[in-house]
Amino acid sequence: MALPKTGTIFYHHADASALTIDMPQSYRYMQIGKCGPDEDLKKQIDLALEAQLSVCKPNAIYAYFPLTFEEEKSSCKDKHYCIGAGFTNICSDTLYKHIKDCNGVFLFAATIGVGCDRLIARDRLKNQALPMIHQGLGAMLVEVYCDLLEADIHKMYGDENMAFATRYSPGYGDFSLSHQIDVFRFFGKAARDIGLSLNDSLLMQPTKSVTALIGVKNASSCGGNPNE
Amino acid sequence: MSRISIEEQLRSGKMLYFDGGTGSILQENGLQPGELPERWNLSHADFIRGLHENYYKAGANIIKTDTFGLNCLKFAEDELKQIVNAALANANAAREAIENSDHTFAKAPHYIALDIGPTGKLLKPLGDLAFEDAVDVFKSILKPAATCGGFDLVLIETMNDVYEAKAAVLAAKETTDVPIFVTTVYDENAKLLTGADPETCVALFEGLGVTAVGLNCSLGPKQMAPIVPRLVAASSIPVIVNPNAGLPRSENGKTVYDVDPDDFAECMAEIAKAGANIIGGCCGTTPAHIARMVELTKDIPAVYPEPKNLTVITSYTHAVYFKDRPILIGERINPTGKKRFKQALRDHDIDYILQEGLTQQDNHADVLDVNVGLPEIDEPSLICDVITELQGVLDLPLQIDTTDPIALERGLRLYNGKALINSVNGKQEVMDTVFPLVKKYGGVVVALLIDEDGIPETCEGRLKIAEKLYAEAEKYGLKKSDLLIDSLCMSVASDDVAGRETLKTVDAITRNYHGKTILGVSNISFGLPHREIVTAAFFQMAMQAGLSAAIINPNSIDIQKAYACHCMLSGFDEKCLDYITFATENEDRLTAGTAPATAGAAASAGVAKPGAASDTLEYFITKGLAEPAAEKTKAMIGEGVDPMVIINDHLINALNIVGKKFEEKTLFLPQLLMSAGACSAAFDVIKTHMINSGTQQQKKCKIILATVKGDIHDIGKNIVKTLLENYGFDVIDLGKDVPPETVVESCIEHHAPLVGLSALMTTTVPSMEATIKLLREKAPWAKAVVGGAVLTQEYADMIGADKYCKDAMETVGYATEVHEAWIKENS
Repeated sequence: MALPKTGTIFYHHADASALTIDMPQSYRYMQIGKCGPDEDLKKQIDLALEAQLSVCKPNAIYAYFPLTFEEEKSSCKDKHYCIGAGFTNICSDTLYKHIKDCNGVFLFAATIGVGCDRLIARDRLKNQALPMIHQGLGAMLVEVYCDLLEADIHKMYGDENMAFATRYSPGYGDFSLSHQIDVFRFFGKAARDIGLSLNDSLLMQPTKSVTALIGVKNASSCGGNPNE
Repeated sequence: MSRISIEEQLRSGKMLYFDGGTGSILQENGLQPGELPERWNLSHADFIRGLHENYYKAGANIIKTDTFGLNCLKFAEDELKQIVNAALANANAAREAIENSDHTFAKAPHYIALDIGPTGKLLKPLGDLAFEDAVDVFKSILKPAATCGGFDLVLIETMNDVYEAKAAVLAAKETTDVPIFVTTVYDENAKLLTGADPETCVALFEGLGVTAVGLNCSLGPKQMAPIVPRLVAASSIPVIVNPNAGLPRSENGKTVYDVDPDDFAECMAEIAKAGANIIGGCCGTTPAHIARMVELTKDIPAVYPEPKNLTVITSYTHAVYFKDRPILIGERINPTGKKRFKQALRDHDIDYILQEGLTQQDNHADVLDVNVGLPEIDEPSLICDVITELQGVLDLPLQIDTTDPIALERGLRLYNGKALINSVNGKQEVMDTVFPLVKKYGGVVVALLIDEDGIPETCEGRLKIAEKLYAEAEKYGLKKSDLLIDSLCMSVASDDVAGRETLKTVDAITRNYHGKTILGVSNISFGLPHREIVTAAFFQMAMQAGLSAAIINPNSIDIQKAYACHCMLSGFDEKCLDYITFATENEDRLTAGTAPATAGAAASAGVAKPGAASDTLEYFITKGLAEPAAEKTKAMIGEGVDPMVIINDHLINALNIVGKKFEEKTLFLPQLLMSAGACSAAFDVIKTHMINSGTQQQKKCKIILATVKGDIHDIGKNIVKTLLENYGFDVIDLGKDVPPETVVESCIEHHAPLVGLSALMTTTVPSMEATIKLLREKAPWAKAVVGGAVLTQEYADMIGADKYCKDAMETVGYATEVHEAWIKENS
């Protein structure tokens, strides 16, 4: 399928039941060691997961832009590369390294809604471990929702001649978090439609939300895993 | 040109039509990504005028000004005013053009809606925008618009949070006199993103006095159709339906919307037949969609809704109706006769109050009474804090219970829903004060049958006051259904017929006046032995007499028994499911009559091991078993063990064992926290014992804790707080997003030797640095300890902190060092 028109915002939604739960990932966020939780703790985590899934509302917005790259741009100061990402210009050498082979990029903002934040606020009064557990579960849920969104984008717009980079968020490497302002300026009303906002400290609310870029190339490989 | 008012038009039984999308059309015509559409009022005035005019020509009666995102968060004051003026001028120019033309619709009534969208910020406590600040943001457009004039209504639209919409409605009510329309955004499960259902939205906005209510955006007409009958069934005001033309999707590189004008119009005809009074479009709809919709629906009558006369209150998620099943109002958030609660109020111990709320919710209260009145406290301020925090952790509707009109008004403003108000009575002065507040903010009000002459002894006397209250309420436009009559019950110990006259009054109000009733049932047993038996019997009789709601202790097993049986035997409990759940959940209490479960205990029930081999307090703490730890502590106190021995020899010992395992990585953070929770439960028993026995609890030094300004993450800070408290420190928790000045003021006020600051994001570390800098200047004696995900030793050194702690246990260690030095200095 052809790539969408530049800068048009699309909506994505999933049921919580469609998410592929990744418990080991959530255990890592909960700072539980490799041996995993004991039986008592696991019961608490399972109950918390049930509560989370009942209030989890995965929603996302995304748009496509062609990419341009410039070297040694004076406005980039200590960075070597400037990336023209359509919604803004980004001075970042690590992002460049990640998507230098790409011709375009999908920008997305995804959230699982306010449910997780509410559970954290409520359950801290019931049991001190629960906020930590909800925090770990919420972080996992938003990540697996991003995985699903990425997979859907690949499916909707990809073909055998196309390759996608893994997602790369403001705050990774030298991709400044201040670009969140550009992301939210671009998405405008659409961000409000999915209940997502940015505060003055550049934190997203609800807290279990992600913004990121996914590089797109019309042939062969395009970018790798930012964690590598 | 003079035109019929929009309210008259609505009452005439004729369908009114909104215009369609604006933003999506602007995008099609060159609006750049990230460009603010409101600026087109100035830069592309002709285009905007033309768009409005095209919608009028398509048959729309109401056009929306291009001001959806216009507010002071995005625009400087001067530009904002310019755009407001231009937007209104563009809309009025379009109206003049159509009305002066010979177009088919030239004579149709044409209205202009001042369009108000969401602020783009999430309100506290989930976000960082305070409610009153949100009101001011909305006023930033409403005030210049009111000065300019030229609009017939305010449309508050695309709201996915009822709290934000309430702020907008109040801003509109306090700025203009024009009708207010509100539309919210539902998902396919008929819920707002923040959880409200259609019935909640209708009750809340109708209570606030808006002219019409409905839904827009997000869904196409097909998906909206099932929500419309729910709105129509609940609403006594006209219903608005403005769907999208589906959602944008990509087709061969082109952006298309799912629903074309023909399909759109066909669906809208069904929606009109379902009872909508005002219909139009939102994103993706065009003048073509509106024209076809008008054509297909012009002969469908739009019947003005009948008054539903529902007695209904709401939280931010759901509505509670007073109709069949009696509604239970938990009375435990009230200091009357509760030493521990009074102490919590004096100490501003909000967590204790929240805990009371959660326990009542666990015990199936429908509504929570909130009374924080003590002579020595600032009630208006505290009621705001308690309401804000309560609605941050639970979703039950609240009954705001105060005799202080300032506290009542501030509480009603801040409350996220339509409140139950306790109370008004037959005294003229009180009616003059309370009824205007009910009118302005919405609500159902408890009306006490007492007046200047006191409480009449007989039913007949009380009914006269009820009639006076109904009549006076009507003068303010309030209906009988907005009042819950409280016949007042006095103690049967001092008046043999107190119970009988009260029950007669409940019966008469229910059957003869078709009114709704409420009682604080526990008064009946005051002064008698085994009060709960009498209270429960009276409660049962009152429900039999038709009582609509009772203010009770939901944790009382006798009350629960009476209620479960009444509901089942009166046919309000399908297949006896509620009764069976009650009997199963309370098996132990029904057979042994033990104390009710607490919220903490309920949460830990999943890990409790009945018949565990060990029965020591240390065992329960290390295993994180809150309820057994609390019970064991009670038993030890009962056996005469000194509370300080329990703390020092048992609790601290157990915590040290857990702490050591945590440091050795043989036990993980959630388990450490479960142990801390069990320890807190034991501490709470000791604290209650000490307050009741009048002994002072010895505490270590004071420590101020805060998550710094701009940062809303407080899990880490709360972990540190719990552990510090468990180790006996006197923690003053200032919460999250705390400005430097507040931290320093608190440090000076308490002369605290240690301040703990937490930050999660690199962007909030400068706030931490500013706080430490101010601390050095104004409170040089205090040490600053810092922590949080983003912090490192290097960062801590850079911002001038005294200590960086990687986790809560290390903070406890450092606090102990500071405490010992502080003791030396002060000895």
